[in-house]
Amino acid sequence: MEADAIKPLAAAIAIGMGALGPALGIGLLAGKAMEALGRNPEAVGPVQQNMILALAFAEAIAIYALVIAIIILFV
Amino acid sequence: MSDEPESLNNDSENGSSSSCSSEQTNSGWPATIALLGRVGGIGWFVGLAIALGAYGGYWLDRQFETAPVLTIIGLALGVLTAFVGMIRLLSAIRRGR
Amino acid sequence: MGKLLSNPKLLVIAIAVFAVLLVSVAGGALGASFGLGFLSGPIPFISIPAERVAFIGSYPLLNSTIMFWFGGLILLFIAWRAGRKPKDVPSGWQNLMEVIYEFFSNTVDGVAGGIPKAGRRFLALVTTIFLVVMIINWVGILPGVGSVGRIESIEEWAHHHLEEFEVEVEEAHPEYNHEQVEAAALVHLLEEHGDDTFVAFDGVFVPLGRGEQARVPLNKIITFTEADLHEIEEAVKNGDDLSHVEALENIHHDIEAGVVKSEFKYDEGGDKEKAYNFTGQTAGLLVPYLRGASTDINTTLAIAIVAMFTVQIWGFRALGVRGYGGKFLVNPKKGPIAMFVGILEGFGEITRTISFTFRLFGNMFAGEILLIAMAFLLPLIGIIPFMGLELFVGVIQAYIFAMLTLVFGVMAVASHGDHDSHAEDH
Repeated sequence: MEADAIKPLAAAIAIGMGALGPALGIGLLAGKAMEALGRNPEAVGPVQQNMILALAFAEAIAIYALVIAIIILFV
Repeated sequence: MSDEPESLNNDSENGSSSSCSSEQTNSGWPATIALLGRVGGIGWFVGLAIALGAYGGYWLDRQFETAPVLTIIGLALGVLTAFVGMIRLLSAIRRGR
Repeated sequence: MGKLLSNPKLLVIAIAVFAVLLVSVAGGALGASFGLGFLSGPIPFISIPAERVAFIGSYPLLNSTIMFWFGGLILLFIAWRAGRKPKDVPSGWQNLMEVIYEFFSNTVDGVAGGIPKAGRRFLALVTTIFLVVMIINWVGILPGVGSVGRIESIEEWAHHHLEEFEVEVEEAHPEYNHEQVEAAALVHLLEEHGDDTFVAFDGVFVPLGRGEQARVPLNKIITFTEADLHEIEEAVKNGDDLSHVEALENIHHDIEAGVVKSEFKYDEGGDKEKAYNFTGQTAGLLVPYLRGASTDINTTLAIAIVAMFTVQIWGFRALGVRGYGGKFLVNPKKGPIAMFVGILEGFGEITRTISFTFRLFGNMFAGEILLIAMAFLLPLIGIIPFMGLELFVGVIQAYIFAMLTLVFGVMAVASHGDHDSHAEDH
């Protein structure tokens, strides 16, 4: 197996497995946010803002995996 | 029952191209083609502004032998012109409606 | 459907959209596999480090730096426009700026403890980070950015890539002189990158109608054979005078000319082979003149360093050197575990800087690659929904950067007394 042959495979595995965790995390997070909204529809502002903030943390992990995949492919 | 003749008149107005009724029709073929022309012109404007800006800068570079500086300035001006022009054309179209 | 057919405006628009869709599918990458790709162009060369486009004195100017200045100029213009002749009832630019300022003022006060004006010290940096990052994200996806540039000829490309091979050869054979090192490195370069593909340009524009398949491999631009490479290697090992080796001369000449020499066949899978003939055209890679500032790690790293540095300053100013330093270098009397936690907090600060950098860089760079790939696949219309996504992501990433700076600042300013009281409650 030469390095050139395994590069695309490595990049695909990196982003594929790296996106599993954050996807689950974001789904759970949004679900809880919807639940909280359903219980207390008046608290839209704070719930929404905090949800977006936590979303960024979860998505950042997926972005790290993406950056590693890009580095594997192009560098 | 007096409503029926009015509705028949309205239908014929909408379908005809040469309207002998109001001056400002917002539907009908001439207005549609005019609208499409204006919207299509936006795309041409953006593309031509960027291309002319970049090529003008490149031509000036070749005249004065400066490195890519003038090309980059021309390109940046072209991008700015394209964007501002696009916004102005779009808002003119929206106001016209 | 009846309503569609009867209203001429909707009908014409629907037909136009459908026609554009057909043309773009037929002309794009999908159509290229059927022989129809008349609109497709080659994917530009994607490089993670930003490319140098000019020199100021001896300082290499990168294409992302130019866009950062561009974004700064736009911000200055907005500030000037919003600030002149301020009215009591705002309108236009002033209104927009007041909305943003008020939003952040309320948010900062809310996060900093609920007392009005509690977060006053955080407000300036947080709002600035939001505005700067949002503007440079948006300016980075304007049309013309990333698509107009200069051609990096084969000579430049070879010059770049020779350096790493030269280092290898020098380490392996320290006795070679400069010419021999260069020749040996050239042999390695041609062996390894002989199949790399380049774009053939005709004149000013990147030619349409040649898809990804029509990129010219390196061995059609520089003619060399295995025997030639062996000959050069032998000459280098024997220490011969290299100016007599004809193969080396030819290769140097070909690199300088940088022109496609012969036609090549592209194997389209199965039994089909298509021959492309671009003889005489310049080959190279496209280096764009403008590139979004946040697609460069340097920019995001700089903003992240400024943010975290200011967080430390806020901490020191609020808690004093002993109070804030006590979070990281804990008094040994509190036990070894507390010391370890303090060291971890120190590493945490560095980790946050890196996390800031790669979050913004990853989002923007991946967005740029996504736009390039969609423009390649569906030429005319494929990019439209992804432009919307890019706009959205630009705002959200700016907001997240600003909010995280604020949250870290509030955490840094919180005095240890709160922590102790929490521990006592448990």
